[in-house]
Amino acid sequence: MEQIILIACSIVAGALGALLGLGGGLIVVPVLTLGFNVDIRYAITASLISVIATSSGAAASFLKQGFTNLRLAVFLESATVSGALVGYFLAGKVPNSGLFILFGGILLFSALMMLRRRDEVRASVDHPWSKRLGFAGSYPGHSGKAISYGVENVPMGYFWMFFAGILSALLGIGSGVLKVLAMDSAMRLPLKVSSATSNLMIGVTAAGSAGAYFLSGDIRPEIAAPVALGILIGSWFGARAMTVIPLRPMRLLFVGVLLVVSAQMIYRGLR
Amino acid sequence: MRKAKEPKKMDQAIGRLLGRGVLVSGGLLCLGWVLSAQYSADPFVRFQSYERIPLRSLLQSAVSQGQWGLLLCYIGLFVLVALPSLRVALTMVLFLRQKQPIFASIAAFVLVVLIASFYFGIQL
Repeated sequence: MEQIILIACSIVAGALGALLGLGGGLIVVPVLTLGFNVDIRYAITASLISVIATSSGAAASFLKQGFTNLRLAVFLESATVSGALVGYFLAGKVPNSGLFILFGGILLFSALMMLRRRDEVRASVDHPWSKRLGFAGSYPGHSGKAISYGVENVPMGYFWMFFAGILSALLGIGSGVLKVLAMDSAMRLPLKVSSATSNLMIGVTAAGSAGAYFLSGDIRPEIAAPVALGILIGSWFGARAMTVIPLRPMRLLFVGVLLVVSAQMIYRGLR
Repeated sequence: MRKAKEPKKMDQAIGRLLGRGVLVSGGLLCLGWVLSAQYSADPFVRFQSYERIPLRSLLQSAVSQGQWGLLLCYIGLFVLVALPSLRVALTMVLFLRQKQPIFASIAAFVLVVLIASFYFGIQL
């Protein structure tokens, strides 16, 4: 029965993850630790699996639709995987209570970030790195006509990605919130492009530490298998529902849930 | 015209790899989970406190107890964990084919870090 409930929660996490451009980790870790009383270290490693599943399931669809900026993703991934490796080594040095508090803080930050208006502010200039590496691209608009865009402030985005990689390995999340924030605010990418590109990148970021966790025996299939299955099913539906479901009310509901869970995680860490 | 089509082809090739990888790993996990569900009535009690057990011991124990479902789950998880690395490797090859050495080199760097992460997992 517990496993069926876990699969159901993971399906919801996967669908929300794909729809909102986040990894399912923000939901999976609290469900496992607060709901099933699983040790946070097992929860984090199972969550990393869920992040890879969310990313791979949804990215396949986003790539076909032409929203993902592959060149930019590969460039920024060099920062996130390096950060993930650093985070993997830091993970053993942080006590469980610290992980709970840090996770609660990230949930709170994510909730606040989701409340902000993601206004479509286009890059007014193409950063010299972007010009040199050809990051500017186009994506299909509503009428099917290609809409062109440039990329601003590439070094700032690169720095953010390194930091996002550290957090990903420490907390078992895809750090999609940080990635989307960096791409929206610093690099001024169109919303759909930053969501889709973040979605592709979170898989590689998570794999940066998941490989190490897997081979050191910390990813246990008894937990990770039902989580991954649920996430795969959820993200499949989520990616296809992106154009149909109104995102604003769902985002607000999700913010409320994040705030409550954040308080619970911080309380558990301080207890 | 031909040049503009190349990135699209690349996106679709990578999308296909991810889609098929997810199907394979999902199938293995599903089968493994159904088979292993019988010998774990309350599966989460054992995981309430963390205990570091090397992967080799976990696999040996699963083999000796004939827990084939659990082993299938491990294979499914391995496929899923390896999928982003395969995607980066494919990206590198496709960039090389498109004669974009800078991006092929960046993808190669990402791949090396991912492989290093597997290596550190074996070491610890």
